[in-house]
Amino acid sequence: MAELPLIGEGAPRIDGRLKVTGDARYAADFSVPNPAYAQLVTSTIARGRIVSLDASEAGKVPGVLKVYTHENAPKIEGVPFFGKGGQAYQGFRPLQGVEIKHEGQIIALVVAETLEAAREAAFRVKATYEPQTPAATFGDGGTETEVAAEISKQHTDPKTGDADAALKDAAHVVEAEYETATNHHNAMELYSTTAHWTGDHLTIYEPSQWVYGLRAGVAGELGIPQDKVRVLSPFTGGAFGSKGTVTARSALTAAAARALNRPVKLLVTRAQGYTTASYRAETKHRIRLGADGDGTFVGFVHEGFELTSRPDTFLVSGTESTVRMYGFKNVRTKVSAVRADRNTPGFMRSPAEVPYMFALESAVDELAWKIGMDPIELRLKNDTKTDPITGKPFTTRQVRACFERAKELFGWDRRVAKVGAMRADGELVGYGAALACYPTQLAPAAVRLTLEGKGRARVQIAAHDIGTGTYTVLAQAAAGLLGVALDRVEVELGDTNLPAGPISGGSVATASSVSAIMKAAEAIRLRLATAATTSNDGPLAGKDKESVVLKDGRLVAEDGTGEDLTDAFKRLGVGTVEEYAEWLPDGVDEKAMRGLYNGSVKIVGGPMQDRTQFSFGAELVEVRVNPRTLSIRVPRMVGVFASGRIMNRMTAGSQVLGGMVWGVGSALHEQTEIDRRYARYVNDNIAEYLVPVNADIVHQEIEFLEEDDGEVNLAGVKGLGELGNVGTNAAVANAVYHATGFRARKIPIRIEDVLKSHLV
Amino acid sequence: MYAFDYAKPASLDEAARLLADDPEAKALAGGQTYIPTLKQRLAQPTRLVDLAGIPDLATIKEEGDGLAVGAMTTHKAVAASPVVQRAFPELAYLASLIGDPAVRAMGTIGGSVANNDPAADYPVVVLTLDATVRTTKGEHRGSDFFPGMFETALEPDELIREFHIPVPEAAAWEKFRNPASRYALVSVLLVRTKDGEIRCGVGGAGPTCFRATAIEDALRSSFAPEALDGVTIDAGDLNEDIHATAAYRAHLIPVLAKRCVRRMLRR
Ligand SMILES: Cc1cc2nc3c(=O)[nH]c(=O)nc-3n(C[C@H](O)[C@H](O)[C@H](O)COP(=O)(O)OP(=O)(O)OC[C@H]3O[C@@H](n4cnc5c(N)ncnc54)[C@H](O)[C@@H]3O)c2cc1C
Repeated sequence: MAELPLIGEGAPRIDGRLKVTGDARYAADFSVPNPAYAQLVTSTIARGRIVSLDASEAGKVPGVLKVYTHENAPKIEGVPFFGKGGQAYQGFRPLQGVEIKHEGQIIALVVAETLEAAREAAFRVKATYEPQTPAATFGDGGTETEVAAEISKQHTDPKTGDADAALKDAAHVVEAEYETATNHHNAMELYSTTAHWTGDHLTIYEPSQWVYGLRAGVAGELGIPQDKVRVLSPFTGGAFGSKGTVTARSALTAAAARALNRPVKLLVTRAQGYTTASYRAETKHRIRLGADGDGTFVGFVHEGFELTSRPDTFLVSGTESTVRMYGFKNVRTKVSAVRADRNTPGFMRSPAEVPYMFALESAVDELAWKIGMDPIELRLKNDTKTDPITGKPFTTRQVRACFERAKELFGWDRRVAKVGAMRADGELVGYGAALACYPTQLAPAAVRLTLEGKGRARVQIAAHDIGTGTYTVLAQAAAGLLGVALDRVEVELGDTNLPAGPISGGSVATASSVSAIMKAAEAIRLRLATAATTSNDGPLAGKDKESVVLKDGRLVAEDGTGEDLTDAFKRLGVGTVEEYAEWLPDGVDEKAMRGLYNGSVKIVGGPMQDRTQFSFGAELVEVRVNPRTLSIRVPRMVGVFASGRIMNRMTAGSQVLGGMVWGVGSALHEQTEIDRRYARYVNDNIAEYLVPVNADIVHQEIEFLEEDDGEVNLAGVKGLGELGNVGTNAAVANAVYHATGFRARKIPIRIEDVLKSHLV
Repeated sequence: MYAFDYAKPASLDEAARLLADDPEAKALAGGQTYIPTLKQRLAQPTRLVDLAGIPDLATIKEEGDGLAVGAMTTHKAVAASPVVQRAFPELAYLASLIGDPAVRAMGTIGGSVANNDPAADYPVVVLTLDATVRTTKGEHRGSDFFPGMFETALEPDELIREFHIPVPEAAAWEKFRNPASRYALVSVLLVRTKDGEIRCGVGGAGPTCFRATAIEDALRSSFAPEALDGVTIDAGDLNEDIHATAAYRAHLIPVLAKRCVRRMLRR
């Protein structure tokens, strides 16, 4: 088999030109014949019942075709909530009754000749409610707290030894509570759904991270066979977890299109996207971390509280990751769900790790100060080669190497180990460090790979490019394995007419898709090599077929003899070789492949039966704090990552670079503000939902370590889309402490919180 | 936006007549406030009466003890005007800090004052200097032009023609800007009139602009930043939103006023 380099070349995106010229077609760009336009109407109360919905004024707007309310909405079958093995974003179906479960719930769907008419009519739908007082967030009357292990069969709280006893005798203990804020994905591309029926066949255009899941979900909700539905999503303008599960709008739009007998295009406003799709819920953590006199960890307790909706239990359970970060000898964890009158939360980039690692990596820093130890030293002292819970080895774990290289790049040795002791340009300077991690996960994948004698190749897989560079890395994999130039490879993605690819979630896409491509490429190589080596004539006759590889448009043996592809194909008597391959990760049985086609997700990884697999990274940041205004800036960040084989230095670099920018957002900017009186999101727009801008990010340095991990999968690829933004928030908070003595246990860090503290 | 009629009259009187004929019609100046309002469906006029076609409404002249500024004069024109820069440089400075370049290129002084957004800047000028608001129906005094949030003394069919703004002896403008919109979280205009009177106008903080009499009293006895040390503003009537609490706004008022004092003393 041809070898891929451990750190692949930095090839620019093959779809870059399409994107910058506007030729890339996003879901809402597809034109359908004679479309009608739809608009959602959403509730203005968070809890209660609809008493009446008056659509009479709306119906009078010229061009209105139909106003669907709970009284006349098409019947939608419930498909199970994603967290229960289904595809649905939430278990509750709006528009099927008078019940209001959260603010911004869909209460009507208006369809009109033009988008403008639909908007105008939507505005004129008048609802009257019988409201009840909602519980908005932690601490509000009416929230219900439930222990995850008691309400969910899938949930277990990782545990080992007797952490409470160990902490009693520990020389140093940190005991603290941490909080992370509500966040929304705010992808540039808004949510939309276009439904087009031809006879009993439905085509859906929708930005998606999981076209097969969307197909299954919509088919289930409409009660039609899956093979009657095709979903297309060739380009997705950012998703970050928000476009993975199936929201209520898709089937509603399709049902409206069927009833009205014409294609319907639904465009969701940004504000409506805040409540009709998912988000990252706020979390709380209680941490106890203890070490003996020399800094060796002796016990760790992590209790997490996650906000969820009334109908659904959505939990990210990041204790599964935090307990594996260091050689804690004794561990106790507990995750609880706190129900409030909110829409159901969901996956958002590094769902579990962003909040939970903030708590752990802040606590480690607090402990380092308590002991009087360098925080990186403390981390390295407690590095472990085995999973503290299972006792099984990590496949690869380059935590030490990451930190050492990062220290060098950063100049960590300039750190003065005293709060407020470093200054530059009249500002307080702080250094902060944190560990980044992401479990290496995989999912089944199928692919069709084609090689032509003329040296052109094609990859077909219903995987997705959510802005991550999937088109490019899959083309690189095929080019490398089939020995053709990158610009000779065509990649087709995001279409349920293609072989089923994995959900683009959990950072499984590249590793799983490339594994399937490797399997198909090997079959192609073998066919050509067998024909060439078993022929009577020809330069490769009699050679060992295993030694023959595809390289530079040729079929070559180890000694360099070989022949052009055209000749090799002539021998086969065909112009094109096509191979379909199905790849299953270790520990996944064959049924999972059928499941993949039927829209059921099987993701495995992290801790496994015989091993534990993670990507790791070290993130170091410098903050500058103005001593008068206390404004916090991050002029410099260094990230060093070890994440298996890096397919493309450039796209991978962009992923972790962007990830760390997210991390700064998590630490300093991003927060969905909630009006607790009404359980309503206030800043539901990108003017008031703050994210870092260019001026907030000054200098970033990224490096990947070589890592040959033969155990994780054929390709040795680990996911990294969700690695870069883990830990950054803690690194920033830790640096703020170093600069000011203010310990931020709640993010985003606000100046007013720093102000309230007693400063150096 | 929903459907409406559009008219572009050639005179202010014709514009006023169109408004008088149809109570649901509405004037349009630079559109920087009103077009977004329409997009959000917060207003539904039957007709827009665009003032952009009326000649001679965008003039700036010296007039007696002050400046005559036409209602359709853009923020950009005020900021760049040599007349304003010479006679009342702080007004040019104020205009230069409104919004962003696009807003300054389109937005007008007439629209700003007629709209009376609590966070807007020109209303503070009109109030503090007791400017004269000349309209199609007569004249109003700036000191009683702003009864409340988004409210003015204008009748629905009354249009502003121009402002007469008395030029003060000295002035300082301090604005604590929202970094995204550039609107004032709080703004303070401190002036010494030609008769030597100290006046302090405040914007952004309350439902509408107001005079901070406590600050004026304190400065009357001693025109120095320290004179404001003990001065507090009651947060009770002030605005509160996701950007700032009422208490924070109250706190900012003397802070900005002190900065104004320092700048006036330095000159
Ligand atoms: C991003 C952004 C930032 C901004 N930042 C600031 C800021 O920092 N400071 C600030 O002061 N403002 C700010 N503004 C508002 C801006 O200055 C507007 O231009 C101004 O408030 C309205 O002026 P306009 O000419 O655009 O009026 P329009 O939007 O056209 O009209 C506003 C209202 O005034 C009425 N009207 C207009 N002209 C007349 C007239 N001659 N007689 C009677 N009624 C009239 C209209 O009927 C309408 O009700 C900002 C606006 C934006 C969009």
